[in-house]
Parts: sequence; structure tokens; C-alpha cells
Amino acid sequence: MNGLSGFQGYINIEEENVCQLTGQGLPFSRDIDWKGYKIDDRTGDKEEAERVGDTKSIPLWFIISGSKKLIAERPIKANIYKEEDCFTVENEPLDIYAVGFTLNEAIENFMDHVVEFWEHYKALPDNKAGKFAKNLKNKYLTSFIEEN
Amino acid sequence: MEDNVIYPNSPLIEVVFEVRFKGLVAVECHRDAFYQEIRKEYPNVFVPKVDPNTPPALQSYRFEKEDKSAGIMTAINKIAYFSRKYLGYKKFRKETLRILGIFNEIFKLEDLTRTGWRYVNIIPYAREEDLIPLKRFLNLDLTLPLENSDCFKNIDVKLHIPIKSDLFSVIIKSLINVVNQQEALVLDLDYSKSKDLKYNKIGDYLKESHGFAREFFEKMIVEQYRKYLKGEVV
Repeated sequence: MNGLSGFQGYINIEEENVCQLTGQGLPFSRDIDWKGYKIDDRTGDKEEAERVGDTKSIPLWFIISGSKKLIAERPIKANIYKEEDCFTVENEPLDIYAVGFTLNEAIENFMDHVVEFWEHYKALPDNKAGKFAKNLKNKYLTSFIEEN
Repeated sequence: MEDNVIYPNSPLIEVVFEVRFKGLVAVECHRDAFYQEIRKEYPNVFVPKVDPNTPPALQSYRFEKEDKSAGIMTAINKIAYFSRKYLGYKKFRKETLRILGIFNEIFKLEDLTRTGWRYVNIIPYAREEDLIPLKRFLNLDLTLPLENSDCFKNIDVKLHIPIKSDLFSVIIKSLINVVNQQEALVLDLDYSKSKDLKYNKIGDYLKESHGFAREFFEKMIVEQYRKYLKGEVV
């Protein structure tokens, strides 16, 4: 038995079964502890948690807008920026910049734009497209498959 | 996957290697001696606030780099090196062993009780039809006797799996960022050893623990998510 265990009012110093994390704030948590994150309330666990840093990008494979569904051949990297009172979600290769008051709204707008652009470029005849538009058309048509 | 490969879109947010030992009161009395040895690289000192559920001696002091990218935590029964900006196994291992060497020089680590390697990953996602697109990220089969048992609104799973005489812990949870409402999955892996530990074998424990956790991570993620991690994206 260790010197500190076994007495009422004392605890065994070898109780924890996972490595301690830093938290980034004090007091340190012995469990999950990420700044900016908390355990989802819908799970019923309202434990507050902290962790370093914010999300910079998310992968998207499935683009949905209204009744239209596109599947990405390769993941679409949606870069996220937090402005003062809104969010921007952008993807430079697809030339898309979407804004929303919430992140979910910005992502929804992003998806709407992707579908709009995809439909536009799909319908655009090659002889009506300049060099830039041709490149984008090629990018859209090779990046997505429509789900029926 | 080579040990030292770092994905450009890595979800790793924290790596920790921790060594626990039978309580050494000297750690409390001579914390300053240890700090003097590491002060140049880890000048920032963080002390724990009062936590009514944890005895003060078990709460770690934390010494961090100026840029907060890495640090050391130590209490009466533990020392841990952590990195929030993981630059690969070789660098992490080298610094961990250096720090442990300094600590051992001062406090003589003899009765080790546990070593543990912890990988914490945050995987942001966008819901698909209001569900967590789990299968786009992880090979996780949680089949239940229900029609839609692979469709999840939220996830909260904690598993502790014996691996010979060691223990592997896996935590998978859905989280939401309180600041920007971004949703994410946490994939938290912890490989620990607690049988017949010897200080002079710490290097072996590091290698084994890291190797297991890394291999598990590689098997846990699906190919299309690996593409994203590698930067093979539009």
C-alpha cells in the first residue's frame, strides 16, 4: 500500500486510468478538457470543457442544397473564418465564398453556392466560356457526381 | 505510415507522455530544483487553483514554453511532457527523454506505477441530413439491433481494452464549440502500461505505446478521411 492510500479522507494516488491533459485553463481537468468545446448538451452531459485553438477547416464529401445532392470525388476543404459578427466559409479552387451569421448558416450557404455553380458550369457551353470559366467548369465537373 | 510522418491536416491537438510513480514528497519540496533545470525552455509557470475534489499534492504544476506549444506537468506522483504542436515522434521522444532524465537526476524515479501515451484528436465535421457522418471519418462499427443503428445524432463512447498486461482506452464523443458552434468528434487514445515498470526501459515503453496508438489511429480512420489529412483535397 502506498503512503497516501487507505484512510478515510484520503484518496489513492493511483486512481486515474488515463493520462492527465493540460486543459489550457485552470483548474486542470482530470478528464477531457478542451478550450472552446464542451460536451454536447444533447448527450445530457453538460460538463464544461476547454481546449486550445479553433477549427480552421472541415472536409465535405456530401453537398446538399434543396433536392440536389452532390458527392465529392475528393474531400472539399472548406476553410472557416470567424469575422466579428459572422462566419465565412471559402474554397479557393472552387471560387466560393459564403457568409452566415452562424457557422451552420455559412456552411449551408456554401453548399447552395456549390450546387448553383455546378449547375451553371454544367450548362455552360465551352464556346461561351473564357479561360478562367473553362478551368472552373472542368474543376466542378470532375469534382462532383450527382446523386440520383 | 512511417513513425515521423505528420499529416498537413492533422487532427491532433495534444500528445502527452506521462510517467507515474509512488508518491515522492521530494517533488513538492524541491520543485524549484527541477524548475531551474528546465526554466530556460519552459519559463512560464502555471499553478493549480483550489479544487475541492482533488488533494493539492495531486494537482500538477505546469511549466510551459513561451509560445505554449509544449510543456511539463508534475505532481507528487507524476511527470508528463505534452505537446500541443506535435512535430513528430522523434522530436517528441527526444524531448520527453531529456525531461525525464533531468527529473530522474533530481528525484530518482524507482517505483514506477504507470506510463501512458495519449493522443487527442479533434475531428470537425458538418452534419449530413442532421446526422454525424461518422463513416466518412472512422471505421467504427457500433451495430445495435435497430434498423438505423448506424445513424447517430450524438456519440459518447468510452472503452477500456486490455492489451496483454497493458490497457488501451478509447474515447469517442461528439462535441460542439461553444464559441462558433462548430461540431467535432473527439478521438482520444490512451495506451498505458502498469506492470513491472523500470525507469531504464522508459524509451521502450515510449516506443511501444506510441507505436500501438499510431497504428490504431491509422486503422481507425477511413481512406477518404486519410486523403483529407494528407491534403488530397479540392
